[in-house]
Amino acid sequence: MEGLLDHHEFDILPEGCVSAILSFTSPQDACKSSLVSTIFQAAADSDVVWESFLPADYQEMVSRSTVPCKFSSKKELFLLLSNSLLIDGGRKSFKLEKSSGKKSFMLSARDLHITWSDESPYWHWGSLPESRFSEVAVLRTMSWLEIVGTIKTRMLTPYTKYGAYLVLKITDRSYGLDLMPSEISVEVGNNQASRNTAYLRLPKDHARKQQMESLLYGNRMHMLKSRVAEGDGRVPSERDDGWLEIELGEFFSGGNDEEVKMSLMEVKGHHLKGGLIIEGIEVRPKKLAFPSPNYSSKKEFVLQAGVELVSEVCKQSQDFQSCFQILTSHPQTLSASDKKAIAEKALALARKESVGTSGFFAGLAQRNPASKAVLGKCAADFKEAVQFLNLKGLQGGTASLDVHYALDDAESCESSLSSGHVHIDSATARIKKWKTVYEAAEAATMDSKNRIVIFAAIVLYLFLHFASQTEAGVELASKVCKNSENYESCVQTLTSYPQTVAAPNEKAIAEKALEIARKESEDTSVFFTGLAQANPASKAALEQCAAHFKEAVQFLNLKGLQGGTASLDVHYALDEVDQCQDALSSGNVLIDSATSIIQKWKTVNGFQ
Amino acid sequence: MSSSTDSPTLTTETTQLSPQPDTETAKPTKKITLKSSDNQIFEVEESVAMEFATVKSFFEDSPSSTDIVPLPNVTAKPLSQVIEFCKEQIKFKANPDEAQKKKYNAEFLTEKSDKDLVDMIPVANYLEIKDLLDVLNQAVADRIENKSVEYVRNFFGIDNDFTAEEEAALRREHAWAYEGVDED
Repeated sequence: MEGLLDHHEFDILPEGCVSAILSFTSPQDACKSSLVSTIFQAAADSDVVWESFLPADYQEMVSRSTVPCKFSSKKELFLLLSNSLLIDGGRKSFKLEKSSGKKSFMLSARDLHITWSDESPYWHWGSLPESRFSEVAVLRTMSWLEIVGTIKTRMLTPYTKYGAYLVLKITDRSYGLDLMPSEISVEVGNNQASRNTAYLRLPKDHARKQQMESLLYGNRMHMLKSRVAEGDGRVPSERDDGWLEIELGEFFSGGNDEEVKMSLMEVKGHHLKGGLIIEGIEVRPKKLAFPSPNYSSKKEFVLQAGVELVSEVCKQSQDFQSCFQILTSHPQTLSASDKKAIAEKALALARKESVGTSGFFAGLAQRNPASKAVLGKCAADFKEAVQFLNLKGLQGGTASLDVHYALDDAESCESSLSSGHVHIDSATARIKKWKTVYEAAEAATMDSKNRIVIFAAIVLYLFLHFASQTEAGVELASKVCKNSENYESCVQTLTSYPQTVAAPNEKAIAEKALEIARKESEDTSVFFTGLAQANPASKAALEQCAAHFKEAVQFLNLKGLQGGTASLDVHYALDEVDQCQDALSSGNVLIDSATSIIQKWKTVNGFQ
Repeated sequence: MSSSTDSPTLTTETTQLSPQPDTETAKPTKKITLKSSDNQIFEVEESVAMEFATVKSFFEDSPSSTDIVPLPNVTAKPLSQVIEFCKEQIKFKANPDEAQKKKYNAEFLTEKSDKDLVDMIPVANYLEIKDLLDVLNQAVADRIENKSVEYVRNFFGIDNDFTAEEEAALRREHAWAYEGVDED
């Protein structure tokens, strides 16, 4: 029967299967794979594949288009949408990012709230050939500059980091725009996602102007600057389309529908300004920052996974946005491979913040002799908090308590401040800042503690996915034994068995080690049974030991490890041994060989 | 088809495997026998076999027919792996634990070679096991993500059947897609 089939044909995946696979990849991968073979080409052009790359609401987008969309396949539609489409009567434009299929929008100036923009002496609506929109807003002269745009996260691709960019031009005859920094911010729901400052000036003029200001108007600039909060004073950068853009801030589109408010304001200088042209605000997926300038997209993919992990972690935090902000601002957390790594990083951040806060209060205490005692106590409180914020503490089982102690420290500081009637704004702000970092750390550890808390045996399991096939068994064994309390005897035990040395990965070692432990437990049980018969006087205690070790056998297996009861199970085995020891000592049975065999058993189990 | 309740001829070589008395109602777990294209016999619990939509409808169409189901499109190795996976899924059905299920699935997939995964896909497709098909497709997609055309050909063991002209035309059409792929 087999002989009748063309073996080659039998091996080839049907087109339907290929399209199903491709729909799990990206638009870029699908296009690329059409070159693999004719079957792949047919699959890569299929509607099944491209429907999966289109956003769920693509039909709504098509219906909002100002011109009718003509397309004969889903692929054609995708490529059409990847070239920006005017929607909502030309007030917005919509676009899919070609490589990833993520959505981006541009709100035209007409779709923004620009204060006084309908009063002709101040603002003027004109049209520019280089604009995608029919109208742009031109600032003639006005002291109050306020530009606000809003968008719902429901319209965006979920779980994606977005940046908001004000798209503008600065005319040759502009004035007053950059006398002082403008305040820029992005808010999501009721939370501040980011706040900063920017100078509305041409990028090429920035260095020259900065130099001149510090030489000629140093004091005046400083006075104006002090009216707004600290910021990095960013300047616009040039876009490919001839416009300038300035990043107003970034935010994360979570699973909920929230309103994002993006704004630029310069309302504290009271001087007239003019010569600014606003095209709109663009909201587009943000390329994740990565230290290396020529990162490969593979790394970006890893980072994307990091972002998803972080957002999962921050869902447990009361303040999702600031938790997310804190954790994603460090490349280390983004490249973290699991929640444990994120937890470690988050705790390190919290420790650093605690040290900083402690130093802050110590400084404050010196400057305020009247409240020295109270402020000094706060410095001590935060110093104490540092030691509670560590993963080692987490592993002890007192996990949640330890991290909470740090919060107690902060609260004790707060209460001594209020009972001592010390009201210093900067101190309140500092504690608030500490708390956001702390909450991020707490959220990060909350999840990881389930995995780490009790026993390092699970660490074996965590390694599974990252095990390298090429590593030698001995190296693996020593890696595994780092988790053991007794490294030397752990390595010795594991490497003395040929099976563990030949083991291809940690999982195999864990299995072997457990097998060895099981065998040792069985042998020990048999040993005690024999001993019980030879020593009728201590029979009861020795038989109890035999039973305990027999019971230990069943707790030592990998299936158990993989379940949630993992750590408990291995611990139970250890408990059995301790109970045996208790039975022996309470029965006053001191048989040297019994003690030494228990010692041996413990060594074999030392890998845990 | 008029296949009667009497034992059909094609299963004679396996009758010794499962003596089938007519007291099936008394048995706590009914076994179903599957036969792969390379004539290997697999005896699986009924609950596992019912995970295979194709097998399920085979019995629904002819409830009284034979207990041996021939699977002419399926070879033994991928079939045994598919059975292994489904057995485990049954346990999760009885005792739902999403985290553990995720963990099992991830491990099941990482352990498999590229060829194993690719071979299982048509089996899961033919037997209509949707859950397995989804995780297999995702796993294979992850492995070919951002890889070069040549890598993908090797991965699936596929020959290039384009002419040079066709290939050049396709490359032109999607020039942007070939930038920045990983090293093989």
